[in-house]
Amino acid sequence: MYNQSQWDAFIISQTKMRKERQEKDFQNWVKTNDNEMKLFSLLDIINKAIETSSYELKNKNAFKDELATFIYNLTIDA
Amino acid sequence: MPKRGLNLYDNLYASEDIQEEYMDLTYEDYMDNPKTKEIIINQHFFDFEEHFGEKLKTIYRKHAYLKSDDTYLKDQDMLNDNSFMMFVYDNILKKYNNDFIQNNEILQNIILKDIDFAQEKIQKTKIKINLNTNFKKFDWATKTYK
Repeated sequence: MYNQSQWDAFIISQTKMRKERQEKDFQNWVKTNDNEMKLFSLLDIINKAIETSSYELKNKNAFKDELATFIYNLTIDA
Repeated sequence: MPKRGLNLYDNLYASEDIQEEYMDLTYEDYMDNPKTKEIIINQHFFDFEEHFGEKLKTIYRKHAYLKSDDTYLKDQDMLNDNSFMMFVYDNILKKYNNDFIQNNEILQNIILKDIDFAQEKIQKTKIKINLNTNFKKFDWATKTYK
C-alpha cells in the first residue's frame, strides 16, 4: 500500500509527465506539414487588422503563443 | 409687426448647466457602480463585435477554408469563427473610458438614482434612531428608564 506522501509524489510525477507529453505533442504538431507557416500567416493577418483598428493587444509576444495554443486545441478537439 | 421672442439662448444656458452636472461624475464613479459597470463592459463588447468582430470572423473563415487539413484546424466548414472572435477579444486591451461614458444620461441617471436611494435609507434610519431615544428617558433619581 502507498502512504499519503508516496501517493502525492506519484500524482506530481504523473502531472509533470502529462505536461511534458503535451508539450512534445504540441511541438511535433507545430513542425508537421507547414503548420508553423500557417500559424505565422494567420498571426500576420491578425496583427495587420489590429494595427489598422482602434484596438491593441494586451501582450503581443504572448499572443503568438496563445494563438498557436488556440489553433492546436481546435485541431485536437475537432 | 411685433417682434417674437425666440428664446434661442435659453436652451443654450440650460445645456451648459447639464454639462456641468455631467462633469461631476468620473470614470471611477461609473466603474464603482455594478449596474453602470456592467453596461459599460457590455457596450464595449457590442462595439467590438459590430466594428471589428465581423472582420475577425472573415479572417478566420478565409484561413480555415484555405488552410484546414488533416493536421491543421480541421475546420473547412468554418464553424469556429465565433470562438476565434472571442479568443481575440480576450486578448485585447479593454479601454472602457470612451465616448460612450461621456454625457450619457442613462448611466448618469442610474448613479443618481442609487445615490438618492442611499440617502433616503440613511434618513429613514436617522428617524428610527430619534424615535427610540424620544421614548425612553433616564431618571437619575431612581436610576431607571421612564
